Amino acid sequence: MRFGWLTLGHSPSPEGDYTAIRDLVTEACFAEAAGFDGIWLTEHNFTGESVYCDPIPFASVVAARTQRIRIGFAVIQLALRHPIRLATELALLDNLSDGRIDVGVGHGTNYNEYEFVGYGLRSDDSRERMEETLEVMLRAWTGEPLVHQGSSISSACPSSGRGLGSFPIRRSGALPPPAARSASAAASARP
Amino acid sequence: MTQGQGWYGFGMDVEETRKSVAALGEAGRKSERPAALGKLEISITPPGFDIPDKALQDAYAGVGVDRLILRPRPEMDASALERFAAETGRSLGLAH
Repeated sequence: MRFGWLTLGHSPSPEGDYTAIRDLVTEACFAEAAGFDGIWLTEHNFTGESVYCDPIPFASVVAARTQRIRIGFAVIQLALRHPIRLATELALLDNLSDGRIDVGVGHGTNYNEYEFVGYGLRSDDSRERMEETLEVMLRAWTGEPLVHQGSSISSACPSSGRGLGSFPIRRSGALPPPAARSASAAASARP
Repeated sequence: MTQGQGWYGFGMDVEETRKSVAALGEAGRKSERPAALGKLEISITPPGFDIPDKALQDAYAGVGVDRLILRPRPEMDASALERFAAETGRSLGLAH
């Protein structure tokens, strides 16, 4: 059995955000020193429930302050993201962290409708948006020409033969960062 | 099953996890998982904040869990978190 550490990252007031953000970086260092396999970062927007909101830039600082511990996302809310921007950001983070990231993804929580509304979206099609975003993001890492015309995303990226971002740590296998889907109920388990 | 290396469940006890792992197995039988993805790795955050004892760890392992992702209590300040990290690391026998 391996053990990870989930950050909660709550900040009760804007005045506390500065300290809370720095304390969370320190928390990741504590987890590494204690021998945990990974530190897992959450994404919640607008309320302070997850003070850093976007875990990707926060993860880059964790990567710089730690040496061994894996850095996971539990989870990135895919329905709120554009897949091409996400692919490039995660590729950079994979390089900065020496291949230590684990990309956990979900569609977001329908209980927090305000998160979707804040991004000009609604939750009713979040699962479909997640599926499409994941498909395009994974394709963007392959280096193959990418032309996608979907129900919510359209993209045509020039073919450079190297994908959107490179993965030097796993270059021999040409593998992108490991990805995991999330759920909170058995009904979410699907192909 | 067809795109990811793993699957993560939040706030799931052993029984809920067992049902989810079974559902994943059923989904796997209906799909073609690329060999390059390897075995589907199961990660679970248990409900609550208590550190699972050996019996509970074994129960999760028994239903197919590869990694438990634990969470400290949200009210912990920096010094409490440092103690939590050290004590939890020792109690779980984590390698430094």
